Amino acid sequence: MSWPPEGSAEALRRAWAAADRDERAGADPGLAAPEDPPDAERIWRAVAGELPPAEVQVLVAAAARDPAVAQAWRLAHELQVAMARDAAPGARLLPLRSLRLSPALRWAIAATLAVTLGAGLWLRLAPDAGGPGPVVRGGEPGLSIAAAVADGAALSRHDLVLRWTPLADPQARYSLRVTTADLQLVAEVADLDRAEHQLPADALRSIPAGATLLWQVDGSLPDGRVVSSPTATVRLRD
Amino acid sequence: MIDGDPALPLAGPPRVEPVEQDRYDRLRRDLAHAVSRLCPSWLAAARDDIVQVAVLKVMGLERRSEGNYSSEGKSPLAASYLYRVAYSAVVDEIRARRRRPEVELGEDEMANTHTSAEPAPDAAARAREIGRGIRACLAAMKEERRLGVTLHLLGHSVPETARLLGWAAKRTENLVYRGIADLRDCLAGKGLAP
Repeated sequence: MSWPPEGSAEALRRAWAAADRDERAGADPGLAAPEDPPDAERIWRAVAGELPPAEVQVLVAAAARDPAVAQAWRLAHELQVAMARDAAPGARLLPLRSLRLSPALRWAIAATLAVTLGAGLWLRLAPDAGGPGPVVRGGEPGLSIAAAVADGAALSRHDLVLRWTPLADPQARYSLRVTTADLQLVAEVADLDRAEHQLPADALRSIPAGATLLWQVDGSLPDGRVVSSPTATVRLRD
Repeated sequence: MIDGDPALPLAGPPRVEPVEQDRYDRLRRDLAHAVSRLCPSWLAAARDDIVQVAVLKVMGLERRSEGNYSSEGKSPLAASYLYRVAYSAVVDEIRARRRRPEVELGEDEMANTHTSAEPAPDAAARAREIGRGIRACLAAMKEERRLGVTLHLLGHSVPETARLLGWAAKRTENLVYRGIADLRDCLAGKGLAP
């Protein structure tokens, strides 16, 4: 089954976000009275998957009611995606000047930190018991997903096939999400049984040659565990 | 306009080393991008100030901790922590401005509230109408579908939605699938079709 079923949820997302940007508490009589807003730190932790599902559900319900909470949620999500992108391999590294190490060792540690930061956001542990099962961190044999297309590779819009390393379990299913560099959704496909997917040229029609696309895969195992790949990039060419 | 923070010396930009400067530049760039896309439109003229407040807060925080790690061998603050602090500063600043009495915008500020990246006024009005319809339709939806659809429309993929809400992947997919269908029906009933 492809996702979304009809049209794109992206139009709904954009319309909802645009409406929320224009809302000012109390300005619209059609809106519910503003509540005490949740602490920003809680929203950040909820988006990062650091809160138990019950707490996340309370915050999501608040976001459904209150434009300000929804906006704060979107902001946290966008910043966490940007942070993960910046920390991905190839990004500039954190300063390690406080450690008295040889330059070679500093670079080795910095590279490990950068990979860990990037992977950490995407390969989160499941927040609590009672959920779909633990989210598996990469690294276990057969339980990790990595891009099988060179990061930053230039691919033709007419034959843009994204491939990744499959999970060991043949029953695994994959979902793929592709966005532009400014996080506009390009494609979202679920329930793939193969570790590859060709993006239809139609989905890429409005994207100029040379644009960078970000992509990420989630693999779902029959026992409910979910494995996420780090975010990878490709460049679009005609 | 930048609100004074007694803990932050605002006399001038703090000295930073090139690599740190790169880190701040990255943080500032990511903040500016996110704020420009998501900041309330009535705060459009204050976007730069809001970003600046957040970056200064992060720099002040790191500077205060710098003495500790340089003398005690501790590592610099993690990027994830800095982003979290900056995010909280942005949200707090927006909330503080939201609480202030509304003032009439001057011509210059009015000009700044519409950028070329934003839809034309007619399209924006239509989007607002649809957006308000979405919120009304969400309110009428069964709770589990409402939660799933809300998270999906806030930008999360279906597997992410499952993880955050603690639901099985297949169940989440069904709830979101049916919830989106409900939402489209509800909007159509209101004469709205994005």
